[in-house]
Amino acid sequence: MSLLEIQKLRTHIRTAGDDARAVDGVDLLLEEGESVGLVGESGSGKTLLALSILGLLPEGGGAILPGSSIRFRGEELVGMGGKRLREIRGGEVAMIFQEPMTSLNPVFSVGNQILEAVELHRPLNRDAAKEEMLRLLGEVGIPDPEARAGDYPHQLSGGMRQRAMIAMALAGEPSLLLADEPTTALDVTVEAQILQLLKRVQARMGMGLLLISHDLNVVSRVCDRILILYGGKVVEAGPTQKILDAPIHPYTRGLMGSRLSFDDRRRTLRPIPGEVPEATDWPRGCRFHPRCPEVMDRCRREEPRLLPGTERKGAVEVQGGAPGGGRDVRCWLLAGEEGGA
Amino acid sequence: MRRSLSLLSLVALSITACVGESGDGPGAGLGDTFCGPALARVDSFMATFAGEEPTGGRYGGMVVVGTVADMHGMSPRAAGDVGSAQHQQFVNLMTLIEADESFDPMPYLATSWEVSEDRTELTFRLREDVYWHDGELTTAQDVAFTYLTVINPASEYPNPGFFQHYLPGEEGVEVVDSFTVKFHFQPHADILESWRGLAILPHHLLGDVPTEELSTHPYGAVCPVGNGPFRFVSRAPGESWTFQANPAFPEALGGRPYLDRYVYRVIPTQTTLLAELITKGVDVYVQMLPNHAATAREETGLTVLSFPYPAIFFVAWNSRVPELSDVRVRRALTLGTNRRQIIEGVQGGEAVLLNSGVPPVHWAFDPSLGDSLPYDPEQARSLLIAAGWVDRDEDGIRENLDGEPLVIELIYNQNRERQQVGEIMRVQLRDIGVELRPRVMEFGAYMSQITSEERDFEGAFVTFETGFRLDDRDLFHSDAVDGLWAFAGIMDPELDRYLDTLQLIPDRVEALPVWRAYQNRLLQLQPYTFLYSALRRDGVNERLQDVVMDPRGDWATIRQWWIAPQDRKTP
Amino acid sequence: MLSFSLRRTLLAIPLLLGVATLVFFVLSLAPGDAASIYLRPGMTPETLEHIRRSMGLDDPLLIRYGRWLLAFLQGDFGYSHFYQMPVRDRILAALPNTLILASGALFFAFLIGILVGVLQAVKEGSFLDSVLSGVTLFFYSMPSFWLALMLILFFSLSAMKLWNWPFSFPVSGIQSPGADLLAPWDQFRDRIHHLVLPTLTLTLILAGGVARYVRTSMLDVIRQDYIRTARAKGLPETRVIMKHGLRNGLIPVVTLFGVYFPFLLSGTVLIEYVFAWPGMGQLMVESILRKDLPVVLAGTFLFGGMVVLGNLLADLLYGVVDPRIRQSDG
Repeated sequence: MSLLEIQKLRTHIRTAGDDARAVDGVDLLLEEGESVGLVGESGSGKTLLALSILGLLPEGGGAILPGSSIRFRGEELVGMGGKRLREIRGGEVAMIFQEPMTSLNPVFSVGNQILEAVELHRPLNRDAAKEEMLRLLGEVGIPDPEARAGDYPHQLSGGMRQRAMIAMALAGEPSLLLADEPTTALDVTVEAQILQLLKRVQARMGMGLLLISHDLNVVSRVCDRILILYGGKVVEAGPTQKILDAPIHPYTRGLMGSRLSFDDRRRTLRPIPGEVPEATDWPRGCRFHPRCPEVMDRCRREEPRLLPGTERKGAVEVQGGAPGGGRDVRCWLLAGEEGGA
Repeated sequence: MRRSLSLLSLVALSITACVGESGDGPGAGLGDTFCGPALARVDSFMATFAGEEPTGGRYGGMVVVGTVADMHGMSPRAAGDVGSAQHQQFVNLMTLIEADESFDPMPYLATSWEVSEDRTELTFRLREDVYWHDGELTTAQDVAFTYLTVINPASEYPNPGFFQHYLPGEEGVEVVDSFTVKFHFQPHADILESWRGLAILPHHLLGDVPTEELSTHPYGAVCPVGNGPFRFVSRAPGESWTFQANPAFPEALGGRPYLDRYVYRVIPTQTTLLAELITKGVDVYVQMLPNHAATAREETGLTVLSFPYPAIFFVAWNSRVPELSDVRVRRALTLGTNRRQIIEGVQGGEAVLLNSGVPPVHWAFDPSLGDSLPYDPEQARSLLIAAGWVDRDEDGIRENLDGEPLVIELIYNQNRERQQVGEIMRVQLRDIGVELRPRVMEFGAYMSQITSEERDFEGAFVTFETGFRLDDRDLFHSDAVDGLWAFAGIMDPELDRYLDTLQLIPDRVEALPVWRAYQNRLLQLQPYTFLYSALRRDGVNERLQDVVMDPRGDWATIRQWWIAPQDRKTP
Repeated sequence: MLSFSLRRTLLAIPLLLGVATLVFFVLSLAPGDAASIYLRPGMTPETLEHIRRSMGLDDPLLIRYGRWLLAFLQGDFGYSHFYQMPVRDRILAALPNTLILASGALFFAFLIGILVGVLQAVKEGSFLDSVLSGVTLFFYSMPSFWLALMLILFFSLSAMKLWNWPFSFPVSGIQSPGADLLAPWDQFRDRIHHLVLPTLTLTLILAGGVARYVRTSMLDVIRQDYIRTARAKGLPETRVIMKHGLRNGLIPVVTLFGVYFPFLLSGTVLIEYVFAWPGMGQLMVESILRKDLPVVLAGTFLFGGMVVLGNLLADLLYGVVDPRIRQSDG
């Protein structure tokens, strides 16, 4: 039994016209202690996917369609509510968000907010809970926890805020942590520290980690496996190293071209031309085709399926790059002569 | 008692206490040093009657009278407002004499009186058993003190005219013995009438107070100590006055009144007052609106008492203004006003049309006079033409030779009755080519305009509470033309003659022809367009027995009001 | 922040004196002699002169002003010629009545208004939301005297005469006549009984405004990220809304509190009139109509003071509910 098993997840947003198919049939597996990265530009559906897991979709901001399944240790989360869901939220599955300034409640001290989570999920008395709250602050690297606990979010720096968020997430000793763009709002040096922190606590607590980012570089530093999301669908998935070494999907390659990395400064920044289309109005055929530098006729007509890349060695060779085994790709480039099947 | 009730009020007290610790303006501080001991003496005197008071039968119960305005109290100045005047006369204080149903003088504080042969002396013999509520006897000393106080303008007593024929100062009064007092004056009419209105004040409490400080002395509105049938208990300003039966009230005058308690409540909104009457929250609604009377009449358990009242309502025309100096114009204005229609429309027919300042309840009232100057627009138009007012530009409004239109402004203070009458008159006068412009004003400004030397007005609605003692010299005599009350400003030797004579003829039979002549002269001169004297209406709960409302006043019979035991309620 | 508020409050004192001064001159220079209110037919000019003297109107305007100012600064508010008692006593008689009515109404208005506003925000767009929006708009825009009369009609008149309800409320006043004869407990109950309708009227009118304000504010708040964080933490929805949402949603409502606060002293004229509630609103209007200048001046100063105090309280409350303001104290 996997820690998290997502099958055919479709999360649509109702609008006045057509529904926005923001998450449109995503499968995802995450094993105990494993860290998986979810990468895509904004509009790719990655945040909605994360929110779908804990049922945190905003009112009128999205609904999980029937047929979707999200199992946490075999327990179906779709449609779950009430007490059990609240136990899971912040308890077994915790989540941290992109913007720690707005994600922390401005009118309560950070200590108070962490304490609230501790008391909610841990059978501790008031004093012990306080003790634990201070320990958590120390654990996430906040100096002088006693003093900082009384601080309000606006009194902390961005990095400290995100550390506090992480401490809050750790309060329930979760076995799965969902981190939605945890470093996007931070500057580069702080980003590195936070990523290191995430990696450390993940290892120490043996948590599963789903790290969501638009930045392949961020994800690659933390995660064992990576899923590339485009147009609400997984377009490429595989072990981190393999994807980095030999990206197959033109979109993945585009993401690598547009990333700025520490270890590869010689590369020039080549952004992917165009923008992600509206989720209400995906293009026919491959959803990436209007922006794809290698677009073919077929891409415009038919939508490719996600195919295991290992079984398509020949196709990988078409790329002329490194071996592309152990992963899935959704691209007609891979299909070769077998075609639509 | 009220204040101690709430914690919040304590907070409020402390808030303001630190703001206003040192109040030593007029009356301030005295409130405690005077009122505390005074009311304590009242309490201890009243306590001596405990257990001796009559019980059972008609004795007991509380009555609540509701009115729209608070009253000023028991000071001489306060006698200017009707509510206060009646409480002075009938409730808390006493007058020397009172009137019976036919307005003939009756003994009250005075057991008897005597007018000398030559009509220059009036001797009152006082009751010897009337106690002030603090236990002191009421004596001739009090009467003399009160008289000397009110003839002093510094007392601000509003009716100094009552005693204008009296010998000046202390010459006018003579204390013969403890219970006999004699007054000296020039012969004049209605000698007794003044004494029905003047309430006697306690000399032992106020004798040391300089007269000019009386109007701000706490006696008047904070802790009056009277000698009347009801003693003062408490006052919550703007809310209520509470009175309690006076057990020491003389047996010969009916003794202790039947009611245990009498509460005067201020309810500024008449609709609320009506609701209170219907829900039995108040027993009497004083001066009911005509439409409320109609509602109340349909309610079971309520009755509406209408009674004539010595008040007159008129339009004063300022004859100092060129347009209005012409008697033909003033006559035309009266003829062009359909006064019967106004009485129907505004008062529901419950008013008597007037053609002089003599109200229907006055003995000299001439009912036949009401038929004079009936609505006659045709005649009004001819009069205006004769006076040179012709519609020269055919805009419906008449102009004089210079082309100035006949526009008359009519001022009044806010009041629904006046507003309605003004509007009706505007429409009616337009019909004869006169543009009447009613203009509402704030009361103080209105009063200033009509009484100041400038007299910056053309027409004005005025209501006069005339009382029973009529003296129109302030209004129409040439000598008074610069006085406060000469609105019209007419000067007529014939009128002067009547006015002078009337005050000096003591015999009514002799005076009546002069009254007639006087009223006819007014009819010719038309200084005012007299409108009507309306009935006064009081809504009364039927549980209240023996209530008589008549021109003497709403409270005149309060001593005899009673409530059957089963109809009494506990608050 | 705090020192700024205090400074502003101290600065308000000369401002309030200025306002009172303005009122003094406007009312003194307005057409019509204040003494003419007491004119009665038959009164002589001499008597009028005495009335003017006892009202202090015989001196030139500037001397009158100087005299008033001097006394006022020493805490002497002067004498009410209409009520024939010192202004301080007159105001002290009215103040508790207004305070009781307004504080109760303010309390219930904010309680009900906040609950309704929160409920509407949580159920935004629902049928319930529409109904409550209609109801709050109805009370918000209703003339207060009309509502007062309607409540009297229903809960006093009809309840008693038409429908024979087991209960009904007194039409007007702060207590039954003769209530001083009752036992303390019954006296208290009688007072509460009288408070019901006026408090209800004022509450309904104020609560409508509060609810609309809170709804808007809460709608903004519940879309904030920290609400999502609170949910992600596993907090029950009620705690998410009532703790994390409301604490933030109330910040703008503090302003409203500052605006309503002066009601505590000023009262509401129309409601006090209809219910014959002898409070400050009624006193002020009567005093203006009667040209009872000293009462008007003291009242003006007091009301102005309440406005300033309301602002100060709002400032302080901001600090309480919003740590971002508290900490920027410098």
